[in-house]
Amino acid sequence: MSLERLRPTSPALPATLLFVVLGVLAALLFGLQIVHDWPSPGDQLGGIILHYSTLPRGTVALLAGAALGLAGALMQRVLRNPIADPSTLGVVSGAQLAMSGALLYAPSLMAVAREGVAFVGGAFALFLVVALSWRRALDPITVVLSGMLISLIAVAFSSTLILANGEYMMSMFIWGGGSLEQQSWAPTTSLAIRLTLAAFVAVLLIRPLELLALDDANARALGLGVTGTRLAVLTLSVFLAASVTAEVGVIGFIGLAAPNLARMAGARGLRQILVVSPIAGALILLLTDGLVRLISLGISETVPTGAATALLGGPLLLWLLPRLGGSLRSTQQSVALATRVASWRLVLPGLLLLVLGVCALFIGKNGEGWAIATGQLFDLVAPWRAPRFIAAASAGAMLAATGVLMQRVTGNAMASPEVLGISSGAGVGFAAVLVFWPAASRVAELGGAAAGSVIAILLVIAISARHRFAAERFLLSGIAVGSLAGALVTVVMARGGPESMRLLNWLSGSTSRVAPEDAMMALAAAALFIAPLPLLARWLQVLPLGLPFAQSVGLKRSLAASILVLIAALLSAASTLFVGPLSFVGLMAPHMARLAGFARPIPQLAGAVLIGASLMVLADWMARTLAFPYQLPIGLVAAMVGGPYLIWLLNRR
Amino acid sequence: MVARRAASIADAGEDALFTLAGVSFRVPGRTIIEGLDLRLEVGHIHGLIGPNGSGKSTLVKMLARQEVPADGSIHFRGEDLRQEGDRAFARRLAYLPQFMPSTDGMNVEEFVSLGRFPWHGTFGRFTVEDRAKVEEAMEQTGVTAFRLRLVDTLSGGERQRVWLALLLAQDTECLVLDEPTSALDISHQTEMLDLVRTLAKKRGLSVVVVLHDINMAARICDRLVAMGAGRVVADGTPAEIMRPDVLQQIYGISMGLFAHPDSGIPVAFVR
Repeated sequence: MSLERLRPTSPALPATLLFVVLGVLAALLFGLQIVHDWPSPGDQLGGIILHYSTLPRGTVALLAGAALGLAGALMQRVLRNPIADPSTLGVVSGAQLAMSGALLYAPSLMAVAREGVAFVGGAFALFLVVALSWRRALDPITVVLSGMLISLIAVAFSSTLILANGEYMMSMFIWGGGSLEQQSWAPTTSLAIRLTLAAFVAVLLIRPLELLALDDANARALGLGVTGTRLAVLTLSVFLAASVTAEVGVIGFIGLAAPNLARMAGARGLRQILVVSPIAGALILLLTDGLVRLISLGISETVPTGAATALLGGPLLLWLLPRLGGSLRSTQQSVALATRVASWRLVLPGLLLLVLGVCALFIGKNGEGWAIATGQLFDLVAPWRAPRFIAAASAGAMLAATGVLMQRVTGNAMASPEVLGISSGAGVGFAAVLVFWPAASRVAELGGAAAGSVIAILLVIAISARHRFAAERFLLSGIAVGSLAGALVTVVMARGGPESMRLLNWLSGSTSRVAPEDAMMALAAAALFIAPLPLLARWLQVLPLGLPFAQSVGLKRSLAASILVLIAALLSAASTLFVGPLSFVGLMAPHMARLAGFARPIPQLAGAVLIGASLMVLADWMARTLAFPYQLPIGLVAAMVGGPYLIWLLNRR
Repeated sequence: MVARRAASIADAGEDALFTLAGVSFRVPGRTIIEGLDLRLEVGHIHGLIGPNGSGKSTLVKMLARQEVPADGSIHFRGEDLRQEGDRAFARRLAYLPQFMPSTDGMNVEEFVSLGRFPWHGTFGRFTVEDRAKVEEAMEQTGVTAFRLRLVDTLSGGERQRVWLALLLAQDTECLVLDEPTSALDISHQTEMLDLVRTLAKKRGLSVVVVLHDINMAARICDRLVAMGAGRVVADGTPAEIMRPDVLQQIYGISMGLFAHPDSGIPVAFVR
């Protein structure tokens, strides 16, 4: 049989049709918008709105979409990676972080060099991503995994900056959601100039880019400076993405969608893809923006367009995942373990928790500096500090237990509630309860969060089951589901109702307003869900060895895994309510327990629980004192510690 | 015709180790095994041989219930594999996968003890009998000396013996081994396979083992089943298989034989 017959039939015709339909729809929607905003004769204000808001909004959508489409096409080409784009590689979030930072600490810089700041941030993020995956020869999945983790961390830092500077920064969030709202033609002009410039450079680079279709060795043998070409092309794409981010904010996944749509429509070869991708990107963004405005017609501006594209991005990534080539890695990855220690050493993390607890209760800051609370003063502060301590410790313990469960069930050392999107899923459930049932009790909120996290983890499992839980794909599905859930939360938050502030608080993880009842509930949940785990130690022993092994010793893996995952989802939901979705304690604590030498299931679980509780108590204490008299969100403080740890972990594998 | 033969094989399945009737296995776009009929005997050491991609591994995976056939039936000691409970089956058949997972910080003793899971289950007590079976298995495979070492720190040969100890601790009547020696050097291959043979005979076990090396297979097996393109291409005692025409048929290259200078057993070589 010839190879020809194995090749799928060309999808070009229906896909081209899709393209046309897309274009017509986008144009129709935009036309509708123009008709809607068309001023009645003599309506000067209406005329101004049409000329300086409606029309430039359309052109900005087209230009930004085109720029992102071109950036995505270039990145995918130069990294030989069909899921590379400015958002999956962390460029957009890096740019956002740099701009938030500059806005707060060097506002004059922002005034003169907005794009420059965005470019530096985006370039730095991409540099980190490339450095992290260099040892894996820029393997597509590793690159995107690093990119999306860097992205998560950058978002956490941005949120911290915003939150630490008070609630008037809320508009930064709207901008972070990527609003295409326009007031002048200046962004259009700026983007047009930049896009033209970039297109010109891309044309100059077309021959080296064509050679890059070969592998590095061949390209080198043909006399191409591979590293130099890569650097030049990546710089160009960061330039494009940073320009868009600087002008209109975070618009995700267009760079992912456009080149793939171009390929589906039958674009073959570099030249065609480089031409069709920007067109596709422009159409997608215009269409999305049109839909967003259609939905919000009548109501005031609600959903930022960037949040809407992020909603598309998660599913798109999930759809592309199974189509990715690349090797299926072994599912087994664990942090190397040099020695094991006896279980009595669990006393040490126990002592640590005790010491930190005493510090948290007695030491704090007042107007003059550090102060130890004794006597009457202690009686005064204890009712405030004790619930925080209990809630933080319980949440940390629950996250750590979740991490142990997920890592053991999946046999994957990177698994954790934060990375697998379970925490973000809890956020969606929580948001749904807030929106549809505003007067809900704390228990109902917990129920909603639990339902959300169960759905998220089921989704991740369903998607990665097809690949037999190959480690990287599993994580990537988790991150994709997490980003979808995150986008949903952003959409709800951007509605601006009373639930927005609560969600924002939740997102950052705040123990500052924990009531004694809440603390007791956290403690009860921790006790209730962690207590049965030692009984299931044998499952935790067998499951990390993988499906074939579990089967061969007669363990019904599906049942065992379902029960453990359910418990993990409950634990994760309960803890997430208090400390937010992004603390990374669920990832760190199980590793630290292992590195300390606790390898068997029960000691590891106990060690992780103690360490997780300690980490969270420490984070809470820092959150209280670092920026005194302001309170930082505990979840974000923990994430600032956890993020770098995650990067280190990713790098050492 | 085929159906009648399959039925007669199933009827005679009472005292057979395995009877396969019309077994097929497919992955999207490819049929790996098609309409396979086969009968394996109790108390024998069966060697599965054949070129890469011939379906050997798939076959043992189906025997060990790691994969489910698309069509046909497999009976183990007269009972339909589909009817067996998970733990009940694991008490009767132990399986060594081709790619062994990392053992996650366990020491040898703990690891071998996992072989008792089919007997004590999730909540059951680890009894004196369980302990005795684990000790016996470690003793017989010679791993008692490093019982407290971490499995991941052992050499390839030692690790393989630890896995064998786990299988023995399972206390089954049948072992299914998928290329147990693929990662070992020649001396450890010999040591491992001789150990398998000795222990199988001593304990009265039935064995199905996938092997790449035809000479190793001929050395330790009672019967060789050669697979090719998802079908059985040759089946018989080592003496019946170790012939130039049969080997040519199995591997598709010209092979010759000579008698081993010491034992007289035929040794195959590529011409």
